Amino acid sequence: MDIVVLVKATPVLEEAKITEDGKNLDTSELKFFMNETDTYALEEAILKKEKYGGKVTVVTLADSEIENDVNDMIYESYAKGADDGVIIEYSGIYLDPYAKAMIISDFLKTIKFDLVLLGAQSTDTSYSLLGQLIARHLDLPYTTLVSSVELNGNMLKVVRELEEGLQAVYEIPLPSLLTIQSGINTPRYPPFVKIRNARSRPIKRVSIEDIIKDPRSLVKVKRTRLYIPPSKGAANILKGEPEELAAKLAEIIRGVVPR
Amino acid sequence: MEIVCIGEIFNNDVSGPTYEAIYLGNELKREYGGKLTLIIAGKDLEKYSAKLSIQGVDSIILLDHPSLELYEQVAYTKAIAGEIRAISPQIVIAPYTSQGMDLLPSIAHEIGYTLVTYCQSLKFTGNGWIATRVIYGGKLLEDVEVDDKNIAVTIRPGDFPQLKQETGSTSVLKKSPEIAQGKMRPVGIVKPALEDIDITKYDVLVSVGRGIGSKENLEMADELAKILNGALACSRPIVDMGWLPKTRQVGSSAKTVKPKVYIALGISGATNHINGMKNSNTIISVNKDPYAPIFEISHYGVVADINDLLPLLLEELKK
Repeated sequence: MDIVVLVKATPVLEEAKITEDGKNLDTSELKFFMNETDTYALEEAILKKEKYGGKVTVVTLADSEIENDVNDMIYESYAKGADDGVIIEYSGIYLDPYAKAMIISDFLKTIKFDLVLLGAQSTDTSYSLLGQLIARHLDLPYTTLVSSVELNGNMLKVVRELEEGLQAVYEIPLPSLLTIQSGINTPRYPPFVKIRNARSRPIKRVSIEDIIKDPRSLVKVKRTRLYIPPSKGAANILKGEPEELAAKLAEIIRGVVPR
Repeated sequence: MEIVCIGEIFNNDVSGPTYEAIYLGNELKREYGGKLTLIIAGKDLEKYSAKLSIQGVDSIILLDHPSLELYEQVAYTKAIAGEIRAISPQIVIAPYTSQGMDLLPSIAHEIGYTLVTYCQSLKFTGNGWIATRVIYGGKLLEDVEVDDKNIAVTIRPGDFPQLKQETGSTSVLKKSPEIAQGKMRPVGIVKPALEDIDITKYDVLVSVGRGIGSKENLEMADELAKILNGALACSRPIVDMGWLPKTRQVGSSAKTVKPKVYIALGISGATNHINGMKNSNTIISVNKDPYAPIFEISHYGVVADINDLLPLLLEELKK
């Protein structure tokens, strides 16, 4: 079973800094890692490869501004067990999920696969839209929020996570696309030496212009403003030295906990 | 303005977020005038008619068919998209639930509308829409512009009130739609049986998140829970890592809790988690990230590493 895993490099964000134009996140001091649910999608692909054979190809669409972190993400994927890595690069343009889905769909038309996996949601823009749009573009059956995948012949039996702890079971044939929920497996941490060795392996680089002539024309949703939500200022934030904080907190807890 | 809301039946009832979609639909109706139609697909839907006939809903279309009992995206897409085409609304609103996040992209694709997910508010400009979206786990908002008069949106459950004032005067149209056959087949709904305590029954919950750092540190949090006659709960990453069973998870995809005291330790406050605990009487949060969204809904906050603070706190409480 040949599996494509779509991954995204997302930043670890504490204090957000906005660029001067008020539209973008200042990423100059941010470190990017593989989006959390994508790590579960990659692990699931590698587990399936180990069981059934085939190849795992990691594909990412990334701004060349964060090239180093994106390269590291691919090398780490190799160290975990991915066979090939592809970076579709862009620079200096804003892409919405529609443009991204079209670019990735067109790229996927050029390679052979049985299954496409990706994380159910990204920690940055949280659209949860890319996988569904790609599946519709490529006319693949899809389902989302998958918490278990079993293969029987050419048919997958998948479990979807619903609300309130309920689950829905579906049968879905290959080829298809699944978005993966966190917790489906335990992603492996490759030893450092494996990551170092992986750095000598090639990464395939594709420019979006090689795929689509005018990617800007595909953008339907344009960001006009990025900002920090106005604080509702509800919390009374306690101040002080650690011992002092513990004493204050204990007093508050004693005051509200029923006896 | 023609407004369509897509409702849903979950676990043999109208889902709470359905009412939130209707609430937003009503707000738009008040602002721009027009008519609000609610569409629901499923099986044996007539019994929900009264519950759905609420203030502001002008008409309800029940797409009723035995094959629609279980959610299946292809059949649901074709049936609902057919009705939307006939109405030709300017906006389609659905909750961002397990069903909505799966279905709306497919419907939007089918009818050629631009979908904006995770919206918090909407403005019609005359030529298009401006939507405010919540991103980076609630740390940032973005305004996005859609140069299209017709859009589809999903909204975050928990962002809007669930008003359920029944009027009984809404026109209800029941239809038996044609069923499109997809390649996928729904098999059934299961509820995994897990034997554990019921965290919704406790007055005090000590809840841990990723910030706890290691499984060993759970012991301190458990000790705190025991001192306070409470129970140990957690956010999603703790279950994902296998440190606590799913029965302890607080959030809209797990358990919704409302204890007298909720102590959040090392929980950043993802939407899903916040929706599962924000109605607790007193919320006390400890997180080393001063920008963690959990502080926004807390009554008391401490910016600290819980693993430094917990031993001191336990000592104080034992005094």
